[in-house]
Formats: sequence, structure tokens, C-alpha cells
Amino acid sequence: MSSLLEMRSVSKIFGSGETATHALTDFSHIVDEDKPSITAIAGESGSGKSTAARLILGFEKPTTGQVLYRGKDLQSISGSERRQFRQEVQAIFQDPFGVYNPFYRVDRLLHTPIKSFKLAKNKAEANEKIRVAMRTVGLNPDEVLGRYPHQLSGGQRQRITIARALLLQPRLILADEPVSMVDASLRASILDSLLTLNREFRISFMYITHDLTTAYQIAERLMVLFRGTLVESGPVADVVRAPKHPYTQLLVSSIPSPDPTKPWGQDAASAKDPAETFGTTGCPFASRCAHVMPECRSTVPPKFQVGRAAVACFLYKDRPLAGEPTANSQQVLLQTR
Amino acid sequence: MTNGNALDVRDLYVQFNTRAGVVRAVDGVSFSLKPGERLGLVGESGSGKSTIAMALLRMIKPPGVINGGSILLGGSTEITKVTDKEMRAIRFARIALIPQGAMNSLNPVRRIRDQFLDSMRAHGVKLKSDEAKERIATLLTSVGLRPDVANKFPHELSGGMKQRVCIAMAVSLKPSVIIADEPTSALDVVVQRQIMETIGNVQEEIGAAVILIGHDMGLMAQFVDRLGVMYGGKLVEDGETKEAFRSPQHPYTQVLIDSLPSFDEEPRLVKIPGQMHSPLAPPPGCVFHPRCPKRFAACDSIVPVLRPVQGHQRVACLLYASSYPAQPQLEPVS
Repeated sequence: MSSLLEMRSVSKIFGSGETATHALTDFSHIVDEDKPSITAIAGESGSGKSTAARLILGFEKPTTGQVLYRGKDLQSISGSERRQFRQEVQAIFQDPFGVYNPFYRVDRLLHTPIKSFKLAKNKAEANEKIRVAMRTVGLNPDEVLGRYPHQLSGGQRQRITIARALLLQPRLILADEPVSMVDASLRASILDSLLTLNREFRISFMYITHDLTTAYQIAERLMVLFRGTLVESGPVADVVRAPKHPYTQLLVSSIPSPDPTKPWGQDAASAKDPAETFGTTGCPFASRCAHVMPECRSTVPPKFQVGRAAVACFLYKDRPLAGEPTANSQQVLLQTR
Repeated sequence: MTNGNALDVRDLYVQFNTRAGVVRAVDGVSFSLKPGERLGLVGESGSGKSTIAMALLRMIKPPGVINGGSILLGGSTEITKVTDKEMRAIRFARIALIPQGAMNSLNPVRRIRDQFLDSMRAHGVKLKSDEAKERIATLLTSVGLRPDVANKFPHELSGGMKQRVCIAMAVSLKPSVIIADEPTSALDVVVQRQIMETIGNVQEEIGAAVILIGHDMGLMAQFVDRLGVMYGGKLVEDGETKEAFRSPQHPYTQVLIDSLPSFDEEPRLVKIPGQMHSPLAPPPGCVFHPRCPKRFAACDSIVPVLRPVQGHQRVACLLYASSYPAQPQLEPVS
């Protein structure tokens, strides 16, 4: 086993002193090169999930900790390694409008990476590659090529960005809310394209979302962030069916059930205004938590092993401490599915 | 002459005369709304659900035009006929909108209090300054905000707080109809639930009817009493929410409900086949037939009309039209 990408106790603090924002705190995660995986990172706005994405892509420098690409610190790799990183790690973003220059035909978005990375010897080969990639993600090249972004639907535009990522034959695709701006009816087919890439092309995904239902549909593992802290992680079915951390419980119970006979649960924590509760020490969720204990306000809870999930909550203090993710524990978790 | 309904929409047509051709965004839609009732309108982008909202507020802008039908507010006011001046008085006071993007709906350079005062003054509400202050404080409290939010600028508030301010403004003149156009689409689930509870509470307090527009079937199941399903500018199904979820009649509603994920089952992805037609070239016959898993010969030639099937449900589908010439090839679902 070898790790393609590893986040080792990564923290990111914006600003300093009294006004410092702890966007991400002590975050660790390993993407194994040999075992293509889909990991979902979920959380509300401001939970640090997009900061995690920017750190992985090397857009931000960790305040402490390291992001390692093939065992080397992303901040100090050589030019050729960086080039390889830029090819092997791709990103798909939320807004399928924002990535296009409205003045150019969509073809340009696909030809540019081929040129930059010299993926084709001639125009004919480039065109063939583009057509194959488009068909893989469920697009008909004849309907789409030669058009301008405004002539295509949101779903088509998002698929083109997936095709673009696929062209580079990446090992990891970071997908930041890729379906939050497309219609429910298109959502399933785009997620299905991502699953195809995972299974047939052995591409790993880090799927960043605020929507636990789509995470459940495609991911193997789920990591739940709250205010920059990983509060719960484990196999996705375990986490969404039997959430352990009070915040995860609140998240799951807030999802409107598509069954009118199952009314929304009325949790006490939901009544509190999140903007008014900003704890600085201890558990970040303490001020909204219905089960809060004195130690929650003073000490940051470590991660306890509860079943197959790791939960940062003192409710589980009688359980053994969860180990940091190692190559081994990752494999065990993946095999459990 | 009133029938007691808060709103009666009859054969409403809205079209956009674009250079590329005519788009019939709302194509003969009829429904009624009782006082205090919660109606949901669901559909994918391009189904016409937001255009209906704009038509009810008479805010359709050229090249769009309401080119047929009637919108009767409170049994007496014909929205399609009143003058622009009268309409300005009706908006907010009798029919109000909770907009989709709360962040873009507030004036960034004015304090929240001044924005409340603007809408009150525009509708001839004259209050002494301490009375106004108290009124605004009451409104903000009713949506779960602290009264001192009145002194803040929009950028000092979170997305959820801004949406609550918009709700407080929408109910400030006690309208009889509130239209909420995807009020929580930019918010996460925890805040979403708080906002929907807030809308529900203030709505019950003032006894207004609500039209919730969106595409989240889960939200509809939790919030509305009655569900209208839109496709291609038409209302294809209309009925009580519980019935619609228990036994959806239209094949489109069936796919919509079947595609909903549930944590109780193994993960699966149910795709709705095909894409919505170009709005410039709707298919002949039933607008959904090119994507319909249950279509049969007559579907591409006969336009189904909305008619009662069972209980309070109405559906526009030839599967349920025994009087139409061709008989269905498939058994109707029970």
C-alpha cells in the first residue's frame, strides 16, 4: 500500500490573536493509491470543508501539519512533481457556470489540459480522447462540442467539467459540492458518473458536501466536520443510520423525511441560534449540545472508538481512544463494506 | 361573490415572446388556495413554478406576458386587471414574497430597521418612532431574532438571519397569501428546519395561506398540506400531500418520489430518464411522454387534462382517462 495523498494533523488558522478563525483543526486523512475510495466530507457552511479542499489542492498552506503527496510535503515538492500532482489530483467545483469563460466554446476547456500536459500527439488524437471522455460521463459529443456555455444546461456543463478531469487520468478527484446546483432529477445521473469513474477507472474521490443523502448514495466513508473539527467519522451507513455525535444526530434529524407521516424531530438544539454561540475552548458544539457536561466546555474531546466510527465526544469517554488513521485502519474500514 | 378562498387561479397562461420563439412558461394552470392552507409547487428548473409565483405578484417582466386566465385574490381582486398603482398597494399588504436569495434581497447600505420602515411607509402605515421601533422588535422576535438586529446592516447577519429578516418583512403587513420561492435553497439542513418552522409559526399566527415553491420533496412532505406537481408549464398532479406520497398517480410524480433516497435502504441512484424538452418546442400530446416510463400510443397525440381520480387528487394523465380513445397498455398503479 502506498498513500497517494495524506493530510497529517492539518490545521489552518486565518488571522491571529483574538480574531483568529480556526477554519480547520487537527485534520487527518489518507487516500490510498491502490484502493480507490470515495470519502465524503460533510458539514454546514463555515464547517471548514472548503478550507480542507483548498489545502488538499495546495491553494492554502497549512498553519500546522502537513499535506503529503506521494509522501512528500506539498509545500516543498519540485516543479516536475508539482506538475504530476496537478495531473493526478483534479477538482470539480460547485458552480458549473463559474468555470467557463463565456466567450469561448466549451471545447476549449477540454483542449487546454490536453495541450498543457501534452496528452495527445495530434489534433485527431485529442479529439478522439475528448469524445471518449464525454461518452464516459454520459454526454453525446455531437450535441455539446462547438457550443458556448450558455447554450448548455447546468447538468451538461457539470458533466463537461467531469470529462475534463477524466481526460487527465487522475488518481484523485476532489469534488466540492458537485451536485448542489443541479436539479434533483439530474443529481442521480451525475453521481452515477462519479461512481463509474471510481469503479472503472479506479479514481478515488473526496466528496465535499452539506447533503448527507448524496453522501450516503455514493461514499464509503463519511467525515463530519463542525467548526473545523472532525466530530465523527466512519463507514457512511453506520454514521447516517446510527449517528453517535450529538451534532451528527442533529444533522441527520434535520433532513426532511420524504414521508409526511414521519414528522421532523423537534430537537432542543435546533431552537438555538448558531450565530450566538461561539465557544472558544472545549468542544465546539458544547454551547448547542443538549448533553453538555462541565468537561465539554473546558477540554477538547479526543476521538473515541464507538463501533466502527470515531467520535469526538465525552459521552463515549468509557470507550477506547480511536487511533489516528493509518494505512491499516483505512484498509480495515474499506473492507468492512 | 366570494367563495371564501384566499386565491383562485383559473386557466393561467404566461408566455415569453423571445427572439427564438414563444415559450409557454405557464400553460393553462388552475388551482385554489384556502385561507391558512399550505400548498407546495414542485418541479424541476423550467417547469414554470417560479413563473407562477411572479405572475401571482404580477412581476412578470417583458418579454414575458400574462396572456390568459384569471388570478382572483380574496374572492374579489382580479390581479390581472388592477392598475399598477393598485398592484403596488396589494403587494406586501395582501400577497407577499419570501425570496429565494435572502442575501440579494436586502439593501446592503441600509440598516434593517430602515428597510422595514420603507415598506411600512410605502403602504401608508404611519407610526410614531417609538411605536415603529416596538413593531419592528415584535416582528423580529416573532421570527426568532433579537430586536437589536434592527440596528444592523445585512452584511453583519448570517444567511439564516437574513432569511428570517425577509420572513419578518413578508409578514409585517399581515398578508393573506405568502409565496415562499425556495426560501431555504442556500442554507444547510439545520438552518433550513429552523427557517421552515419559523415560516410555519408566523403563518399560523397571522392566518395566511402559503405557497411553497421548490424541488425538495422531503421539504414538501414535511411542510405542505397540498402538493402540486409541475412539468413543462403544466400542473400534472394536485392533491393532499399524504395521498400524493402514499399513492402518486402521475408517472412523473411516481419517479420523483421513487428517486428519493432513504437511509433505511441500501444506497441506490434512481435516474429520471431523458431531459426536459426545449421550452421552444414542447412535444405534441402529453409534455412528459418522451420521458415517461408508462407511455402508450395515444400519449404523443392527445393532451391530457387535469381531472379528479380518487379522493382529492387530480391528475393529468391518459392512464386514468378511460374515456379517451386509446386504452392504456399498462395496468394503472393502485
